[in-house]
Amino acid sequence: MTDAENWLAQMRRGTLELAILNVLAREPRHGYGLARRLAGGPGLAIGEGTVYPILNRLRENRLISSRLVASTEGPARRVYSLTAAGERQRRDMNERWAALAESLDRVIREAAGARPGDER
Amino acid sequence: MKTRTPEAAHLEQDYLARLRAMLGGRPAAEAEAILQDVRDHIESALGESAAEPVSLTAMAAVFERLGPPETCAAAEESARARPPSPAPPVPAAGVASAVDGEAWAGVIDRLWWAFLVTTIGLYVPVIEFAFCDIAGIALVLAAVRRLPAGAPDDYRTLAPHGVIAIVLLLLTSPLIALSHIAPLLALAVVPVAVAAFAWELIVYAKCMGGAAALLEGRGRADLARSVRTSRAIYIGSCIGVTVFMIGVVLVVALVTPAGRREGIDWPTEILSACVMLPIGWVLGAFFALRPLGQVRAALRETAAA
Repeated sequence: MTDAENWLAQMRRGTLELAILNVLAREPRHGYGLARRLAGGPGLAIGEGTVYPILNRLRENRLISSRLVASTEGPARRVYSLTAAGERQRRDMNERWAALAESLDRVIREAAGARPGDER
Repeated sequence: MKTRTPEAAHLEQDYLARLRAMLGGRPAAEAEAILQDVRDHIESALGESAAEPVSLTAMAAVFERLGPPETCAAAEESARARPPSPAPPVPAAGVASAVDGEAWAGVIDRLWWAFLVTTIGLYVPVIEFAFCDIAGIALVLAAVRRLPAGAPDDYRTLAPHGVIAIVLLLLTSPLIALSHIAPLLALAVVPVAVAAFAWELIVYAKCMGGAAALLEGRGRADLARSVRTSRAIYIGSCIGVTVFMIGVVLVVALVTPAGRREGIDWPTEILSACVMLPIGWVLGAFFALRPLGQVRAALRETAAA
């Protein structure tokens, strides 16, 4: 794995919690659906298994809740949904992410402007 | 659950064993919850695409998408390194963070005694029913006041429902007494009493749901299903018996001449003694105390293992 790939993998892990909270903000999902949704997102590609330890910790911290829902395809499945505390956390994290992304973007644009042709 | 070829089953066992090893540093309940999620994921993935029996290739494809077990642990370690969220952590201060079957068996033990108090008192006409109900729910609240880490959602959210049930039960008796003075208050008695009954059942449902979740977290899905079945039977039976009793009382009141209705309470007393008492005790014993006892024993077995 190159340094850039390693950096990307670490960044994905760091932002996975934010992605999970935002996916669950739209609608409750079972773990499999959530993992597939995140794994399929451009740039978000992750090992689907990485979702579960984070889901467990979010539940421990009461940012999400879970309940078992009967499934026609097999055993009951655990469905996760956002709690009120999770919604507050999501909004706070989204704001921080937007500020961070804007600052980073500005730095990148400045660098590109200083050295035309490097990156745009 | 789809059948697997021996090679596919071996690959699955190997993956889960590696994942279990990677999660070894976590509390047992937490590790088991993650493993259960991954097992569910595997079943969902196989259910979506793989033919039966599941081949080694199909199983390998599922694990390729899941990623190596080491990646799971690494992702969580990265998340843990960030500042803690503002939400209150579990467990509560002063309680050992290590989760084991023995600690949870202790919680279930306290719930068992709480339900014993409720079951004995609920259908004894001599003892004011609300007294034992309130005492039982208070004991339930005490049982879940401090929980080991990895508490099921049902136990985390139990306290406010218990408080609501107690408040409603406390309101019922004064309302009945006051309705003799102000007959209009009688209109409020029925909804308050029904709400108290409903919230008692919610408390019961959450107690059993939490017990079932604990079992599932320890791989005892069979016993968890049994607990949930008991819960459904108990709730259905309680509603059925209560509706039956109310129906009989209404019928008796309707067929009794208007001049003789004043002061009639013998149907309630007789029904309480002859119907509610044995039925209530049997229901409580079979669908509250017995399953909770089984859960307690299973948790202790887990601890011993």
